[in-house]
Amino acid sequence: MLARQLERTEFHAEDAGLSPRRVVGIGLVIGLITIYGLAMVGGIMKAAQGNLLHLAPETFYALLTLHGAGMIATVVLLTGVAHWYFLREHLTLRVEVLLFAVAAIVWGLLAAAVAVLVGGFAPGWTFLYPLPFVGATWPAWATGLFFFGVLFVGIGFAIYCLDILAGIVREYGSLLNGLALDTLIPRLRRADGKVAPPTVIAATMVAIDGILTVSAGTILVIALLGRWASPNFPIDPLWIKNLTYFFGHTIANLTIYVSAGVIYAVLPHYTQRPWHTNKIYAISWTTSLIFVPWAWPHHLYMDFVQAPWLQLFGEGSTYIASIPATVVTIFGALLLVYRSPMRWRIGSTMFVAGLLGWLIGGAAAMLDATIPFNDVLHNTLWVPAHFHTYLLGGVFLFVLGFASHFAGERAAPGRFAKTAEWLFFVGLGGFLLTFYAGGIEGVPRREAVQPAPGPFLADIATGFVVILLVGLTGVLLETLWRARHSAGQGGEA
Amino acid sequence: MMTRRNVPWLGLLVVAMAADILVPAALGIGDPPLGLHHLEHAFLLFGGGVLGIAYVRRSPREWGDPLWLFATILLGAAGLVLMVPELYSRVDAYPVLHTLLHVGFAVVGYFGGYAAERYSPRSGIAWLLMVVMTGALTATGFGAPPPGV
Amino acid sequence: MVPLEGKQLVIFVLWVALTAIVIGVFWWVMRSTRRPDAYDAVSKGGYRLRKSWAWFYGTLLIAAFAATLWTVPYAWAQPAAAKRPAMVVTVRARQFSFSMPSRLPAGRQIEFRVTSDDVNHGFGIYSPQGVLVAQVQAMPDYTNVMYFTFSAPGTYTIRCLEFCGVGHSDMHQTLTVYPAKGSV
Ligand code: HEM
Ligand SMILES: [Cu+2]
Ligand SMILES: [Cu+2]
Repeated sequence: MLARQLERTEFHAEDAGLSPRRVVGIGLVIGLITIYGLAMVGGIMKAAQGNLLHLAPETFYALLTLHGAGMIATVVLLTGVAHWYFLREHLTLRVEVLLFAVAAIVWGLLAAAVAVLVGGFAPGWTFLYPLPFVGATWPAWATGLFFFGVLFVGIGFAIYCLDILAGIVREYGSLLNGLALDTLIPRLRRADGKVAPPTVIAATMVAIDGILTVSAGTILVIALLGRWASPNFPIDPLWIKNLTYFFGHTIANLTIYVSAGVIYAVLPHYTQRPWHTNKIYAISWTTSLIFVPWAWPHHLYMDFVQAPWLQLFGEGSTYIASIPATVVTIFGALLLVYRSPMRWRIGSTMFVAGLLGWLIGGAAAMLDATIPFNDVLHNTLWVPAHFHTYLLGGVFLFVLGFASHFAGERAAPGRFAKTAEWLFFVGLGGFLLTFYAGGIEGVPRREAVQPAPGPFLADIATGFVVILLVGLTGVLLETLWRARHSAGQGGEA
Repeated sequence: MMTRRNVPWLGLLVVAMAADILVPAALGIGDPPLGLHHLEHAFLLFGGGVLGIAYVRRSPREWGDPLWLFATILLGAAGLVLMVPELYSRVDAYPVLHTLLHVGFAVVGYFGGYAAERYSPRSGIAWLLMVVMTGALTATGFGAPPPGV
Repeated sequence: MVPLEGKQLVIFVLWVALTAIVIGVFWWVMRSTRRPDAYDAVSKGGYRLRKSWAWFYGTLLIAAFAATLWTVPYAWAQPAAAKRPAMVVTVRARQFSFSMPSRLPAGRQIEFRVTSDDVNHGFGIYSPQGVLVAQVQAMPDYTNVMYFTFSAPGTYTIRCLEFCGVGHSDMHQTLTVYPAKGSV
């Protein structure tokens, strides 16, 4: 029954020239172009914080808002299509739904870009109430348009999660089976003995927490739209601050869990070793499912009025959420690589390097999430330092690795690719180090004009960003070249 | 879900929902605190959703149109718009309107569950997840003014 | 450059050490692919190692959590005796300045009551050497209470530590801390 339906859907989609691979490719290309552009915006911001370029503060903050919001939405898009590509091996998912999700996110991005570039909307990507309304240097329409943009991104992600969730219950019978809890609870075992593989377990966690996150985001945006429409709309600043970080933190954090799903699927191709489900995976992903949505209070440690139990619970949840990642996913990946007949390609190098970025950024995050340390790290450059380590140096590397895998890579990288890769990594490492240095020196984040030694470090950082971008250009060209020469038969490591 | 075993539970749910719809307005029981009021409405969204899901499950269906997913999301947003407290304060003064609002929640809930379940067998749970989250978060302060310095 | 001292030094050393260990482990694992072996041969030892690692890491986290319970900067965690002689100072933040005294004593505990007239701001205290020594958020409609004792006199800087609009990076001012009279 389902197979027949699937065929029918496939038929429609193919009719329109939209094979699943094609839609994934479209999402990938749009996303990579966007990231490339936004990375240049990041470089411009660094140059402006240094002595190399002058920007008016309102321009700087507008670019900051564009970079932050755009990057988060784009990595949601990119990791989403990458995971979807592999999930199709296990679930029947609909290509129209993916197309809709991609389109909604792209429209959301465009709306946000117009709000920022034309309207000058500039309260930072977290648009923390009441900032969008008080002392604004931009017109009201820009505020409204931006919120609608956020809503669109949310709708895109929600529909993506809903289809995956539906696919999981259809295939495995229930969400508990999607988490592979049948390995622990005999009553759940299926007659056919089918158990969800790790990449599906990850999808289950992401789909559930994703739906919760988008629900929170919708409440947030509706409250802000209410305030936008009527200045009397009552909003409690502490409540909305919690909601803002619940949404912002969790959606950014989830991209890592989506990436984990990609890693589970792709690493076995390179290491030529299988990645099987067992009890440990069920336990650890259930732990993530429960505790990831409770980590947001670590953004509010410096709000001393926040309820003490929330502060401590937030710290504990952040700690607990780090256990599955380090003990299961990253450890498991390293074990898979250890003494394997690894095929070192651009793809596999990016994946292993991305795991490294995830760990280092995670360590920095854990330090920041420790309350007595937070009071000297909060809102310093330490914060962008650590999240760039696992977003730029982690999630983005997974995306590049996926792109390379998707394009098809049969041979080991040549001299051009190797050089590009090295330039990219050197630029990345240097850029991140200057960020950490600024953080430990107490330079605040989100400042158009920083106190010393901010500008000095920003000058150095700009140099590294140039190197990074040159390397990135090379890596992307190489990937594009390979995609042209193996059109339609990717996936071969 | 629509097995014979579940019928008593569904009956109980209907009774509870009916009470929730009718009693506060009819008896003129004063406005509950805002957070509780949100929860009460979320309960109607939830209960309606369970009924909608049960209705679809009466007869096994195939995989539905993707538009059902879209409908699920829109209904979720619609439920939330009905929860804007500005609306409560206008409506609560008139028992009939208040009752109608409660009926509205149950109806949105019903169609939300129906739409989610129509998309694919068992996917109605997505609606319940959304509604539980909505209830929990609105109850913590959606539309509530700050407590003051 | 700002001197690296206090908590910042501890944090930096910890992070550098963790990073070095992690890079070392990755390097070792990557090198190991030069002499491949069957998965069955390595996975048993791997699972044993994973178990020890889980125990070690879990214990570390519990220890860290327990240790931090005693050192959180919140008012409720301060011993009652330490709170009593505090000098109360109100800080009101607004776009883009703070209204607060420009001189305060060293060596005396101060109870900062921090709030905001408009948007969210931060209240960060930088030592005369430029080291960030304490901070708290300034939020509209709420008052955050922070206890702090200036350990030495000098010219401190108060700096906004929450993005608050177009003038955010100009939102800083100096604070003169004078020697305590009786000296505590
Ligand atoms: C070459 C690449 C990149 C460069 C040069 C760059 C640069 C920057 C700079 C200079 C800032 C402002 C830091 C501050 O002073 O507060 C920033 C903020 C930010 N970046 Fe990046 N970035 C890059 C890549 C990325 C990537 C890949 C992501 C996410 C996937 C990302 C996400 C963000 C976010 C969320 C913010 C915070 C925005 C805000 O504070 O509102 N960046 N980036
Ligand atoms: Cu009501
Ligand atoms: Cu500020």
